[in-house]
Amino acid sequence: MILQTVFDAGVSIEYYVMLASILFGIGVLGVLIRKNAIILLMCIELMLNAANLLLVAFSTYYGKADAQIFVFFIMVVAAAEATVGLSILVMAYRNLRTVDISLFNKLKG
Amino acid sequence: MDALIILFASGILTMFISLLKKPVLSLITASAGLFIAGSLLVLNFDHPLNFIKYEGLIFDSASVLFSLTIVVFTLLLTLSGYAYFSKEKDHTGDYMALMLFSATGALCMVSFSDLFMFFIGLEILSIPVYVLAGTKKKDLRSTEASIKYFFTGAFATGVLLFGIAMIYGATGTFKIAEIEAFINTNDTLPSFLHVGILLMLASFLFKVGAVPFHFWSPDVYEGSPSVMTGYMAAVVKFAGFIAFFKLFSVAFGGASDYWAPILIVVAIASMFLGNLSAIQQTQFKRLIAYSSITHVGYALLAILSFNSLLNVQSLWIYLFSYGFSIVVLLSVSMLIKQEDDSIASLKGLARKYPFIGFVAILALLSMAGIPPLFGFFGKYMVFSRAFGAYPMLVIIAIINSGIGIYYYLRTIIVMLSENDQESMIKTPHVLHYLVLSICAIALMVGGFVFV
Amino acid sequence: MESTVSSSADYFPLVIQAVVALGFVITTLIVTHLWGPKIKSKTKNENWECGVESEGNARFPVSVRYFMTAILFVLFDVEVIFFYPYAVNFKALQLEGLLAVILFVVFFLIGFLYVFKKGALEWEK
Repeated sequence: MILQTVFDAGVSIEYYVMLASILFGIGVLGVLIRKNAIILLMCIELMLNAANLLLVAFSTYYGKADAQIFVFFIMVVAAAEATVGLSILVMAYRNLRTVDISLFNKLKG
Repeated sequence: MDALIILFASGILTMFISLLKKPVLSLITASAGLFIAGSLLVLNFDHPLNFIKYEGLIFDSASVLFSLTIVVFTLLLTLSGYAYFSKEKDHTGDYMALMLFSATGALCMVSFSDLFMFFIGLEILSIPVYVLAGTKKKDLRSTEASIKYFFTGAFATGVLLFGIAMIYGATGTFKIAEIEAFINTNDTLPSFLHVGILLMLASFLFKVGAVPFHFWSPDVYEGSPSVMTGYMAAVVKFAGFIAFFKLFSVAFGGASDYWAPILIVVAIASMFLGNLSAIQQTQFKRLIAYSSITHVGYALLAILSFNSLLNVQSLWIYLFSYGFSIVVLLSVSMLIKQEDDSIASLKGLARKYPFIGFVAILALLSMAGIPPLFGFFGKYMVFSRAFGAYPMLVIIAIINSGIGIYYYLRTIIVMLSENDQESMIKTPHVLHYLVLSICAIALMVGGFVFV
Repeated sequence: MESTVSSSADYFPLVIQAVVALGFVITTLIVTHLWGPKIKSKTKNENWECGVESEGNARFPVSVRYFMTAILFVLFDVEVIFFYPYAVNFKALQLEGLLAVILFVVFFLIGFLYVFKKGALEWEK
């Protein structure tokens, strides 16, 4: 039945919003509960990609290209951010021999 | 626009001059770039140049003023941070170039006119700071600060982007003016917009370090090198608040019934939590971090009570005066020899170096809001403007100012007291004296010049 | 006249194909699992049953120089996506677009020059 409605309506904007929200939720959850820094980075990328998907969907919905250009920039910024993040992690690994963020606890007050 | 290009170009130049491994040359290039950018901003104050074909960045007199503030703080911090930066001769110029790039992003963040440029500016501002927070490579605390700052920052970016996407979904535009018009003309706002505003609010609270998203800031402030702590507290926070103001008070002003109650709770919580934690601190930079959470609470009053760029002046004065205090206090913190910067190591500062002690006391008193100093005027303007709409909130803020005086005075007493042990204070660099004298003048006469 | 709006009937072949594809994979997996002979030996469990014998641990620390190259590749690679919108609008943007892209490439090259001068690409130090 559900399949029938989807096919009849074409894929409407709500489904994109739902998918993007689910992806975003998985990303947020991952950042909050995982301890491995690399996986944290992946979850953050997932959040950014959820936003990308939403922007592209809305861009098609409104028939405007501006959001798609925005997505290009987000991708580049995400790559730059990942680069910096990984470099910081390499530095941390050299000092501590781990990427488990629960072991970064030298600062406490 | 010209200042933006000059900053960027001098950043690239500094980057290449850094290859010569002569720290002095890097310092000269970086500060010359900042100085030229600053003077161009002053010269073109009434007729700022704009991009001809691109209207994502609009330089009006307000954003020129904000840009000037950013340039001034970056210049002061570059000068006072030179002693720290030049310890690593290979990378002095790199660090300065990163600061210049970050300042370029801050300029975008105070003069944007669409969400697109705001996002780009925010990222250009943040990414260099993630790197700079970890520049003490052998120090575990610096690494940890860098990682914490990176992950909270990147997480906030993700939340922000999803908020932007939601707002785009509701309004179909990225332009601030069109979003404002959309909110003001439509009676029933789509739920996407509400979700978007909520997500953006959360990420802004992350970026400026307000309760309940403040947990990263004490750790990051403590672990980072002092000059970067100063940069985060003065420039990043300044740019963040101006963008916060532009987006929430102006663009989303029509929907303020929706976000204002949240912000009231956040402001009260920030003031109390910041103050009550600051009282217990024994480390200087953690004290500054918690007191800055309190100051975020006061500045949120300005976001709540103003609704037009015309009266942004009081928020500007508040953040401007706060920035000078921060520059002074972090320059003093650079002089502490010991790795862990306990307040006790400041003992005898005012006796050994009377001038530095004097300026540090001025800065602390200005933060506390003691009348003839610059900080008082900022606080007074924010509080008096907010009193009409939120009298209870202002009373709470004044009570908190009272609590704040306690720990500022305690620090001052430590500085003034006699030191019988070996002094923990390094010999200051001549640039420290220069920066501190500029700040001292600003703190003393600023209130009478700018108000 | 043919309708441009696709109805559910148009998707029917697609559904059949999906069912057949999934069904084949699942059936094969189950059937081989049930019917296939089960041999367990040390050689059988090796990652590479034939070919060169494996040696040491797969998770050994890699030299940071590989990492530097990989990271720089990610950065420079992703920048290329800005060429796509330009390539699509190549004619419409005319000289101005060309100048903008040239400026972009110049910034790119400045970054590359810096990386080069800094010695990040030198393998032997």
